[in-house]
Amino acid sequence: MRQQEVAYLGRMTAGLTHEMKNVLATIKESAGLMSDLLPIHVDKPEVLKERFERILPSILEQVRRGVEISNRMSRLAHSMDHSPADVDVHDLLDEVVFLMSRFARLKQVVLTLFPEAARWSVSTDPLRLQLVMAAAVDHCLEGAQAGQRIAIVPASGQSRVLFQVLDADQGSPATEYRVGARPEGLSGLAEVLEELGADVGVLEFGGAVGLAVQLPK
Amino acid sequence: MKRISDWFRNFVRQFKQDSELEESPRRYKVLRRNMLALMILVTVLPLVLMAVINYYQYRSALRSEVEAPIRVLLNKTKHSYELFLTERLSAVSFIAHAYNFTELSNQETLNRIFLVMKKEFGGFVDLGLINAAGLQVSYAGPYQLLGKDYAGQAWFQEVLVRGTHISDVFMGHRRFPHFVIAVQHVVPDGHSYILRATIDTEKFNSIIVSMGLTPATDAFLLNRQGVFQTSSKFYGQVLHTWPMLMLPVSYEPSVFETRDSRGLDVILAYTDFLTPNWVLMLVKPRGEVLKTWITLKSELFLVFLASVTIIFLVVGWLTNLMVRRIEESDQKRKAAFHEMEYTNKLASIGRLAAGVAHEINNPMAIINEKAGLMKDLITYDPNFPDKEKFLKQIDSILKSVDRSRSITHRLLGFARRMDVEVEIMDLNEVLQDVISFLEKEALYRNIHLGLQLAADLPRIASDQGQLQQVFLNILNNAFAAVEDGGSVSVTSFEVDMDTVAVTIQDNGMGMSEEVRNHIFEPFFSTKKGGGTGLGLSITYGIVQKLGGQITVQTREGAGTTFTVYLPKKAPKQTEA
Amino acid sequence: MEGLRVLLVDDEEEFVVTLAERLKLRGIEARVATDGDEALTKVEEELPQVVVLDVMMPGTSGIDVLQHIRRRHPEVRVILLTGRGSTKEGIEGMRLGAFDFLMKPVKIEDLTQKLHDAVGSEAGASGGEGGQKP
Repeated sequence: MRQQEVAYLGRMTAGLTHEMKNVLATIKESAGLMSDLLPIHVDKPEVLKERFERILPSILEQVRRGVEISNRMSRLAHSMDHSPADVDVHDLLDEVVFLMSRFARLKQVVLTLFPEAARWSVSTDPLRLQLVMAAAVDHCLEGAQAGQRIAIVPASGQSRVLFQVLDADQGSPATEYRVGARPEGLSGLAEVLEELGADVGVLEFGGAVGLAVQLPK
Repeated sequence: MKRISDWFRNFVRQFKQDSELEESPRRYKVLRRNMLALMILVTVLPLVLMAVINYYQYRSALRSEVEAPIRVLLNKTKHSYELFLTERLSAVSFIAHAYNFTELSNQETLNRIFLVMKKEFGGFVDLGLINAAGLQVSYAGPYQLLGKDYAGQAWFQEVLVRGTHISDVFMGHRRFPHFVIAVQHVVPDGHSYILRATIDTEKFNSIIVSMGLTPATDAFLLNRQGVFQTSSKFYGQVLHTWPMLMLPVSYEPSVFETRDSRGLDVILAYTDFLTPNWVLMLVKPRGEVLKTWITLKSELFLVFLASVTIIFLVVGWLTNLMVRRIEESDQKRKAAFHEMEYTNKLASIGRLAAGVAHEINNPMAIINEKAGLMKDLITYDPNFPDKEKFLKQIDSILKSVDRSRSITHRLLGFARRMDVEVEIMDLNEVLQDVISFLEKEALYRNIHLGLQLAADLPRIASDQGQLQQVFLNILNNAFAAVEDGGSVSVTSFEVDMDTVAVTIQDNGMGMSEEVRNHIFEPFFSTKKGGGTGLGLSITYGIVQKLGGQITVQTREGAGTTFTVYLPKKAPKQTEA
Repeated sequence: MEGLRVLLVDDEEEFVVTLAERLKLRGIEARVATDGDEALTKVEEELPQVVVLDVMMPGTSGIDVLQHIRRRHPEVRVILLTGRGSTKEGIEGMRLGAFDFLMKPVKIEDLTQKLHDAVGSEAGASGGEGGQKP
């Protein structure tokens, strides 16, 4: 099981690092562009001003993004510090969405979290729970097509998190559903799920692919 | 002898834990075979030895047990015969000497004497007086022998020489066997006469009967020429010839085994008489004699067989059990080690990621300010566009970007290297990477990091990811041991043709002898309330797996030096 | 904001120099120091009104500098700069008497606002314009 945790952490870290590299590359380009423009328009301050005033906010935006990525990395690294810990499920799902967005983007799929109003806390191993949620996203990604969306819907009342693959034009996730058995592809999670006291089942909601992650009450 | 001691040494070594590199299904087969062999050898060998010793001991014991009664019987019987013969000889001799020639010549007297003799002694058939010329001058008995001339007969000559004579058995008139006792009386005036008595062999037979022999046992008298003096049950009637070779003279009972004329294995016992030249022989079937022995032998054999079978079964089962247990525990240990390894990896990635995240903040802040400044310059600076100034800012941004990239690149490298296995790699590179992760901490805590990496250090074939782990663990320990302001130095060098080494030395608090001896044990930690105590034990395990060695030199209060020796070529990794 | 005397302390030279320049463009003169010892020297040389202090520095740490200033010159306001990984130090600093803290990377507007607040409360305590008595 440890191996899966290492794999998850490694993969997520690598993902964040790649994002960071993109940020840095963008900044580099923007800066490079500015240094290119300078000699060209050095005697046309108005033009220069206009161009710079467009580039600079972009750089600043990248910096903001870079800081966000760095924050996420820090949080990811520290998610192992205390186990079990009181985990806010929404926050956790938010983290997972961020971390997995990259992989979703590669398949041209959007991840959307539909948060509830109420807080929902569970005492669990944060890293392992993340691992399970990420695996659920992976499973849905496999069955999703370009342009579709994966809706992540926490349902604290039933202590569940639903994952639904929706078409682009489907606004909201289905509220009627049934939970089936554990899918074949996720049988590797057996040990982790047992450790967490959780389970995963196929979600029948009218769409092609769906999962329900059942958490302990 | 050396081969045996080598084999034994190899065998014992298989039980030691450190032979992780040789683990494979074959190892257990070999182990099982060797254990089985050794255990069986140790248990069966003494058993065999004992069985063999017992066999021979019993055999000789039984032999003597069996032989003794035969000898006794033989002796007793011989004495009976001798007694019988001596009695009769005495009787005849007495008469020959008590009566003179004249008295004995008298037929009536002789008759009377004969009748008394017959009544008192039994077995006498006739009695005759023979003069010195060999003529029978008087005779008492059933035959017509008066006047018979014995001068030419061998026995007559013998009596004249010896004084007495006991003849061999012969077939007499009336066709039943008897023998003759003759005694010479030499009168003081010179002339002599011989008294001759014939005795039948009925008594002989009764003596044999009184031996109480079993039906399969045969006893008989032979003369030295091999002629039966009594009838044998199996080998011939009286006066026939003994079908086998005659045996050397032995006045003491002689017992030995042989095969008889019937083809049976027999025990043959015999003893010679002094006079006459007869041999008393006893033949017993070997089977009968040795019945007890044979039973014992087969019982012994059965017990031996049963014991050996049981030994084989039990030893086999036990060996199987033990080897399986060893296999199981080895696997458990490997699994536990893997778990520990992963836990360690997890912790490492986590710390590095956290470190990277932290480090990135500064370059980000710089870029932020620089970009912000540029914005300000656009707004506030009357000299806009101050080309030089802008280029300076942009340049600074680019430098920060590079800095960030190298920070994240390291992390990416580390995370990626976790899965790659044996490859040709640069040890110095790995060391530099690992050190760079700790640079910030060194900076903050004012720890002096000294590097002496051999410039010409040859590339080695090993596992980068694992070595990363090893050096990270050791460096973490060094950093934990030194105080702020201390120093840690890392040196790499070539040891010899096949080995390279890395030393990591710190001037921290060092370890006591006690602590040093346990430093590589799992769950051993001197950090109060912190640390799993797994780092160094995993380090040790990894170095072992990579075919290397790790040593520690330390003095309490003076610092510690870890030395990691690595082969230039890592051994084949077999994953169970 | 004439006469606002600020000392910026951070071990990243590029950062702190640029920040000073940006403040200058906004009419705030700021001296810089790149380590704790230099900071303390400069505080003694000319007492600033506000010290903007990075908590994570090698050698003499930001906390040490803070404590020194709070002891020797309690009237000097200290604004702490923290990074994501140093919120612990930030909170400790607040406990030890820092005026406020900001997370890096800073928004220049937030910083100037906090600087005003820092001297504003001081000015308020010592009277100042407007004659607003508490």
